[in-house]
Amino acid sequence: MPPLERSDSTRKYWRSLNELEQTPEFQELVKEEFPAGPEQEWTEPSRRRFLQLMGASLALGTASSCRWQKEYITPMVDRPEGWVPGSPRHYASMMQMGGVAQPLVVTSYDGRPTKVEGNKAHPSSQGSTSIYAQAATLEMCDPDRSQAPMRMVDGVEQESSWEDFAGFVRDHLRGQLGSGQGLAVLAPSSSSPAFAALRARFLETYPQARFVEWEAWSRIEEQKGLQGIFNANIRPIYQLAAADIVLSLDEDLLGIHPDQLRHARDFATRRRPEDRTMNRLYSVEPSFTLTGAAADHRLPLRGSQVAGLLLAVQHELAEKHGIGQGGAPASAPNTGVFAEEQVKKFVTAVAGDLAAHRGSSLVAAGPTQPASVHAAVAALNAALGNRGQTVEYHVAEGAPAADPSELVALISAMDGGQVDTLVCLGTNPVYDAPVDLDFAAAYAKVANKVHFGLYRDETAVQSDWHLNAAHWLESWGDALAWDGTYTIAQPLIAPLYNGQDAYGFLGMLIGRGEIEAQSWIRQQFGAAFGPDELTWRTAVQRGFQPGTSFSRSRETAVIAAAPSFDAAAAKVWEKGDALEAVFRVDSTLYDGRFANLGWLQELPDPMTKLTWDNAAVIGPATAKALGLKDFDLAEFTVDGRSIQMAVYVMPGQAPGTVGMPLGYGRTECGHVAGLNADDIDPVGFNTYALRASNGMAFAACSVSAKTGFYQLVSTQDHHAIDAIGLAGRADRLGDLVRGGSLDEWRDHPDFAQHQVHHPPLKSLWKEHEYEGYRWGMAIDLSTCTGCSACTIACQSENNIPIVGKDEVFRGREMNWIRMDRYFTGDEENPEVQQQPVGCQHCENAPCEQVCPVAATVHSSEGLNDMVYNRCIGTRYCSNNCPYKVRRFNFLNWNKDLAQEGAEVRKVSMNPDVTVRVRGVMEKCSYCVQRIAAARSERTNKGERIQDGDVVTACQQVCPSEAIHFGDLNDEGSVIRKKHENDRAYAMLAELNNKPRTAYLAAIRNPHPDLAPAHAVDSHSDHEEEQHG
Amino acid sequence: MANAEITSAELDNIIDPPALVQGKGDLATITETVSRVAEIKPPKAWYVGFALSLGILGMLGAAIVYLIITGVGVWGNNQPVAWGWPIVNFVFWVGIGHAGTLISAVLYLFRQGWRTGINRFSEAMTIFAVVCAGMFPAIHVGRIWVIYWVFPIPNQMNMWPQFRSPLLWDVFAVSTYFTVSLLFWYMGLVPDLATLRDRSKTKIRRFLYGIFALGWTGANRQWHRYERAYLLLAALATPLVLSVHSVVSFDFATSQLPGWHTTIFPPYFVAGAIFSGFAMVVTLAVPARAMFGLRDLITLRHLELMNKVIMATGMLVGYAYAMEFFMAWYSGNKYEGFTFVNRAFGPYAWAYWIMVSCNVISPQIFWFKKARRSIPIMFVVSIFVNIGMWFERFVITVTSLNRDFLPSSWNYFSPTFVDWATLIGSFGLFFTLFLLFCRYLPQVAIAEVKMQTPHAHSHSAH
Repeated sequence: MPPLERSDSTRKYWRSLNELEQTPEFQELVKEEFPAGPEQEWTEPSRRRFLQLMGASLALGTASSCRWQKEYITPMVDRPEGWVPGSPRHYASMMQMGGVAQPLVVTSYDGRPTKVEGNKAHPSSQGSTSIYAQAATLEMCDPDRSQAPMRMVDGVEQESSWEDFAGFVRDHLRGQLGSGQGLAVLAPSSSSPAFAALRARFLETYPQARFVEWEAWSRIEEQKGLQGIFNANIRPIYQLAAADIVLSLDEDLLGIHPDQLRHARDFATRRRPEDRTMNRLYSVEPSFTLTGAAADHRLPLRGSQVAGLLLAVQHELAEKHGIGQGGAPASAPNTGVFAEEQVKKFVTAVAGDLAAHRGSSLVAAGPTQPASVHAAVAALNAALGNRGQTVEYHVAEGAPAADPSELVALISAMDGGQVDTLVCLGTNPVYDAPVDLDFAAAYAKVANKVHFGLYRDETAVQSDWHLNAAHWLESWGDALAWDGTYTIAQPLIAPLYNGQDAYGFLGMLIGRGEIEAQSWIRQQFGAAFGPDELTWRTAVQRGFQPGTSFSRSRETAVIAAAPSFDAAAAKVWEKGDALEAVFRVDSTLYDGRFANLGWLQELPDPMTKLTWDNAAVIGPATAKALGLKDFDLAEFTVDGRSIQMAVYVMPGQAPGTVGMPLGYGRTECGHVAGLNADDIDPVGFNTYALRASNGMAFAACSVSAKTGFYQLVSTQDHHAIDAIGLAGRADRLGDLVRGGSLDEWRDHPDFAQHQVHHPPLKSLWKEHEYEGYRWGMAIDLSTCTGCSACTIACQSENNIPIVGKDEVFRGREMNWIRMDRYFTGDEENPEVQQQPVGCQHCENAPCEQVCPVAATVHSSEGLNDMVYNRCIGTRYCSNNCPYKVRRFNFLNWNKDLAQEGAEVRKVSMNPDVTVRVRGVMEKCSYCVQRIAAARSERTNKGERIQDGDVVTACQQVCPSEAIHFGDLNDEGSVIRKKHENDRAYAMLAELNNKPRTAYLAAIRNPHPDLAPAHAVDSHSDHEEEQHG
Repeated sequence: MANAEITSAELDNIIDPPALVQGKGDLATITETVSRVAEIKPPKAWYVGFALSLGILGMLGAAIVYLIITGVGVWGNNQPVAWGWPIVNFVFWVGIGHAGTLISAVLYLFRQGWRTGINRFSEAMTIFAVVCAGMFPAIHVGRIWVIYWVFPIPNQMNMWPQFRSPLLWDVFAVSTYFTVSLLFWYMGLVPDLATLRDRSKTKIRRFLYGIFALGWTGANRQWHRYERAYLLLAALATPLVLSVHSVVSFDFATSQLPGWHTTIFPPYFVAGAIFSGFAMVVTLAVPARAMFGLRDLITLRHLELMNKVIMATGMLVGYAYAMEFFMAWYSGNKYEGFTFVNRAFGPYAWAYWIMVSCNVISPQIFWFKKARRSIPIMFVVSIFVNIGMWFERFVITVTSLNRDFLPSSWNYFSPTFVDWATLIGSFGLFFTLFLLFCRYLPQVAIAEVKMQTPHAHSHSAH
């Protein structure tokens, strides 16, 4: 420890009087505090350990932090130069999901990670993140996380230790199994090169062992389909910015696709009609996805019919346009749904558009579709000349998709008694393995069941060993992004519960000396990119190594192919036919791994708006035929296995299908999602109980009559709306959420400003003048996909509590920015418009005038400030708010912060934002703390805040760049241009509130043959009126 | 008046209405009748009623303690219905509190002699109703421990309340009304308290009544001052009858919520308040005059006159309902129009039609003299009106809020058991106070009633 031994130092740093005196006790203490070697154990997160790690981490963009290294520990008695307590630092890191890295930047206050942002420098993120990454800080601080190694001894679970487990490895694995006969590891997909190297070492140590990857949601069919064509593990990379026409075949490009963020950003560049020519998106899908919602034309078809539609399009292209004739099907399906007029028209329109945009069109198929569809799509893209233009086939070396057949083989080995020790390394197969394989029963036959994970989950409680994992925010890591870029994760905090990372844990299993993730990754990095320190440091600082993306496949002999399609599937669904169950990872909980994160549980599903539950989603006509309605419980049976599930009737769900989101019904997760031990009922319904290995995406399903009632809870349409309500809603919708077709926009670019006519608006009193800043926001409805990342980002940034299912049912959800979702048109195939609504910061704010104690007041910069300390909670402001964006603390939503064991929650709170007490009103503040931070930085330099200095949390996370924020007084600012855009309008401007948030009307680009011709209306006779 | 012909008896009645004091009617009897109530053991019914009221008051106390410990989330309020039953109850009780001042002050100024039989009674009712009303805004706020911020108290923060807020006007209007009503009531009580003092047989009674009688001797000069002061207070209180409920209506009218944002609200609320206040007086007077043997002082004629007022104000209220609909249509404002269609035919249609049936239809029976003079009928109608007027406030508050501008925020409001406990509990508070008043204070203004006796008319210069 150099600083301590450096007695000749002219300047003495000391930690205590004991140290100054160098007493024997202190020398002892020093030894204890810095023990070397594998025995090192920290019983609790210590400040010193954290400082070590902080020192080891490199700050992004702050040179001073580079001085801080593990070897040189300086006590914090004297503040290091450049270190300002309470000022945030940003560190590049990464989160891996399904084997795909999301490059991130984490904000840290005094060693506490509080906020996750996307890594601007990386094309996969460009500054935005998924909702899952946003919720990571909550996950890290989840008090329900497993906090110690546990061991089952004679059926009783006992607290154990890492030493005990090391003993087990030594005695059992190394000692008894030797070559690894009977040893198996079940790990999630990983694209980490360092982990792969470790895995190789593992298999070298235990040559007989199995190492199986398992993901409940895998893109294996895509990989298989493309493998057949390209003879390699291929990953299609889409360039949506270059695509004029996009046909999505049940592919949620803008939703759960791993490259969703880049897709959304690229897609958005073609949805602002004033910027570039608009693209046109066709979507064919059974359940409503974000992609379907954003589509210009959506065709709801059963999952098994999608291949038929592809056939029809291929046929049409070959017959009418002479494209892809070689591999085109001889005939197209023309029975059942394919005989319907709307499907025929759709096919004709799609084929026509694709043919007309050769080289600038794109066909994409989703992971639910069989390999033959993927092969046919690749062939079609090649025939259309899209390869190299809108889609690129890259050889995804080292990043294969998890193949469920490996799990099948493993389970049969377990059943056969060939597995003595199974290590579930971060997987939870008891919960999410295909139900027909009966993993739990096979698991019971394994002598030594080892589970390593963040939570004591369903698998953990059935295991002999449970080892607690470190969160990615607590550990080093590396992985490849979707495009193959090598990314690095660095820890933001010492492991809170002395958890081990996956590298260290696998190293333990190998048992050949301790593997320390940082040095291991550093070593592997050195081998791949050169050993010099600067390269490594730069990569850590940046978060990734540029120029490491996958290379294109050189395979040119693309064989034309037609998908296999069972003509019987074309049948139009009628009452009495089997339904098609559509399994899909949940839009908020993913495959269930995030189930204990209250933010995500309470985040309404972007389409159904359900919170705290999943439901059997059925289309209106199908539900009617089945005699089912909202909140009916019914028994759903797939292949002899049944579950009770609540029904939710959802416009746009394909006839004859029932959407079954996965990820709910956790029984061993935590106090949020369900915990048997504490009698906490699972949230939602476990649809894995119906998902078999032969029907991972779609399965024939039967349904009983209503068996009971189950209250589902949503944040919108809390109750079924009567005819009057529907009429009233239809009447005003066009004024609130303005939009039109591309043609309308061409004829009247400012049509949105002429939607509502009202008399000239006068103010009762002298209005504010804004001489300094004039903050404003603009939200482009044309690019917003409704992904709801803004809601979660806001929740993380502004310490917004969750309220739970009962309170959401009462209508007391707290999100400051909500996503309003409206349907228009045909119930069976509606158009969707999403509208994010936060506080509009009205210049004539109705809330301000009615507060009796002046708790909500106007700032000189036009912000509608909420003074929590002054609020007495009359709630009058909320009544008078026409946008109903104010949120009231009806109860003490932060009560759990005071509970024992939950203090850890406070770690991830944003210290710049007050945690509100009960009885006060709150609402969107335009991220006033970020404005303040920018102001203080600029003021120190004697400058004015520049455009782009202030980025609100919702704006920062938005992948489609729909949200803009800035100073309206700044003439060159982006926000000014947005407000001056022809499409900009103020919602409810006729009330003379003068909202500061402008909406930009949504423009769609329908195919002329599929859309009704728009009526041209005249606005000439409204001279005296104003528009808004 | 089913019959067009007027009988001679009826004609007599019109020319020379029956005396406002029936029975023997000499001064001693009046004193005895009224004072005796406060001196003898009350009837069993009083004990039963009082025990019941006290029990319900206890429930209110428990509900409030629970509320303050837990938070206002124990009620059914939500987004968008941020104001629920507490505000409904507040407006309801303020409305009830209107009849007192109207009867005391306005009718006094208009020299309506018939008021004397019921004015003490209704003034007491006013005070207690305003007590109930005042409780609601206080417990309604999220942080009751800082509610004093609504008062303009100089403080170290140099923060004043926000004078543009109608809620603040409410604070002033209601507290002024309460103060003036209390003073007015107490003023009137002074001579009667002196009577009770003089009749007291125990020391405690003599002492307490003596203190509150302020040394009243009934001297000429005192009567002179008294009458002047009473007149002044009456003049002071009269505008309050109009102002209080107008200001309460501003809570709604000045906001921009469709269904609230209407200029008709002030007169409409005042009419409604008088309507409900008179109904409550009838509801209370009917059992009280039977229980305490005051039939000679609170006569059928009093009740009939009140029923006429109920019918008249009921029709005013009905007119307002109709006019709201007309304006919603005539304005051409789609949000306004929707709110009213939604009110009458939407999810809360049941509440709307309860309101219309109780307030507009039920008082129509008072076109018939028989009904006006029938104790059971008037009692039932007065209860209907009370129910209807509570629903009026419910309809205004909740149905406007539950579906406002943005359909995404629409939500239904359902009360919780705490909502019920506070509403029912407020009646416990009201009746506890009222029964105590009946027991210990003269329910009828002895001195004033005496002026209405034939005896008084034959001798005085009135």
